[in-house]
Amino acid sequence: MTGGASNHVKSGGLRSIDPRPKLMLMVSASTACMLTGNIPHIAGILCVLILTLVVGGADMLVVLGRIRALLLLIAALFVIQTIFAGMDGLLLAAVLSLRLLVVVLAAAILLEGEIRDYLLALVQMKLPYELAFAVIVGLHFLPILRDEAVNIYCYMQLRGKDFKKLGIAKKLRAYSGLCLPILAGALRRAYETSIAMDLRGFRAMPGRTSMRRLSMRGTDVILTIFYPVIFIALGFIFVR
Amino acid sequence: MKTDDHIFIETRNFSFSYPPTGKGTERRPALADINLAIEIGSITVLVGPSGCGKTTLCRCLTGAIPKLIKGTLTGEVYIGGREIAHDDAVTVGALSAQIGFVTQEPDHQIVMTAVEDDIAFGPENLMKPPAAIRSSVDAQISNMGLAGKAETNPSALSGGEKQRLALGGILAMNPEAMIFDEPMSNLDADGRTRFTRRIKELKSGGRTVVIVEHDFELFDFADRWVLMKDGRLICADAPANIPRSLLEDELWR
Repeated sequence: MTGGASNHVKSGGLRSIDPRPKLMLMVSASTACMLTGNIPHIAGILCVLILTLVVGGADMLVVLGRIRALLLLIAALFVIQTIFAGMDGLLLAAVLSLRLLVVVLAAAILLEGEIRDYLLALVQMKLPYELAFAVIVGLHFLPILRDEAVNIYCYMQLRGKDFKKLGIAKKLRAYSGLCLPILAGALRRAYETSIAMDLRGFRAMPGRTSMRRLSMRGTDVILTIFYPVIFIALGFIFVR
Repeated sequence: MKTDDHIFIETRNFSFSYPPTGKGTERRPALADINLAIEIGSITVLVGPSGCGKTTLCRCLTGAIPKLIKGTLTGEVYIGGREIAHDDAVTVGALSAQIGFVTQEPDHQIVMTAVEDDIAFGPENLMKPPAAIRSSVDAQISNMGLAGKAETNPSALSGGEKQRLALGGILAMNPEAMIFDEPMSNLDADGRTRFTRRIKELKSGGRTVVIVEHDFELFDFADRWVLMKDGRLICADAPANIPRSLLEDELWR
């Protein structure tokens, strides 16, 4: 792989793998767990994902930190489903929660890589580059919007709004006041960026070249084949 | 009618109004009766108070107005001898190979998640060969003082670094003319010195440069200062020929 990791993340392990096996893992794992309702099968897929993270050298504490909020949401959904649907709902809740866990862990594996490499991989996989760029520009906006939200929050506090002392109703009203400038800023930014992209020649030509090129090594090819095969094999073992 | 061979950018009787924001809210023209001819290889500085139409004029010269930003337009704009405002066959993307535009806000211009990818974005769009793009990107990273940050996410850069990145991204496209909209706004003293040096290099390389800048005294080496007020051109001449009283009294009164 020609594109290295950025200087603030550790390299090696999952990060040194080509993005395409990871994309294949994401697609095949989520498809397999949606097609099957068999708990051992989904649990098997989950085990493969956890093994991938561990063997791939991912820092499990960091991974758990990233998905903590989603884990809490899955746990809450499990409890609610069980309470309102009784014993019948317990199995359904288990299947639903395991499926969500698979999707969340597959996404966590995707996060062990560079966005720029996924863009390149998608383009090399012949996805129209306009679509691939729509994704990357959206992702590019996230930290900018986060910074803007923090700034507006600070400005409102500087102007005397103490969020901690507000009741729930007033807090909701105050947060709606926070959302509107962020939304307006996001729309304006999207408009300006689309103009700037055109001014930089975006879609000026029938295609585009690429300075970097990803090349798959033997391990990457094996992993790309391995994941769908193992998920299908698990289905044959558990679904009888 | 074609322009003279030594003129690269020309506007003739050019006026533009943004669309009204609602019923009965007709806007005054953002630009009125602009006649401007910019020679190949010259440096022109647009000077005027905020809201006088400098940025709108720049957008017209890049084709963004009227191709992307609609409004009421009369008159003509010529780039390299070709009328662009009324010719539907001319696209903003195609013009980007001829005219580079560095916007006021680098955050609006930067689209990629790594410094080197963002500099490569323009040349890749123009389908330049990968090896040529790589050498151009490496040169810009070095020239813009971004060495060691090739793979850094631009969101982690300082305001000045972002400005330099935005500039490097346009320079890598190697256009014949470049328009800079308030390029000094985020630069420190060193960045300003580097920038003015780069402008002189562009001129000596035969590039046509248009700069919008409030701190226009930094560009006393420019070929022309063009003074604007209320969407109109007041005066266009060599900096030495423009009376300072005109700058102080007329523009900011």
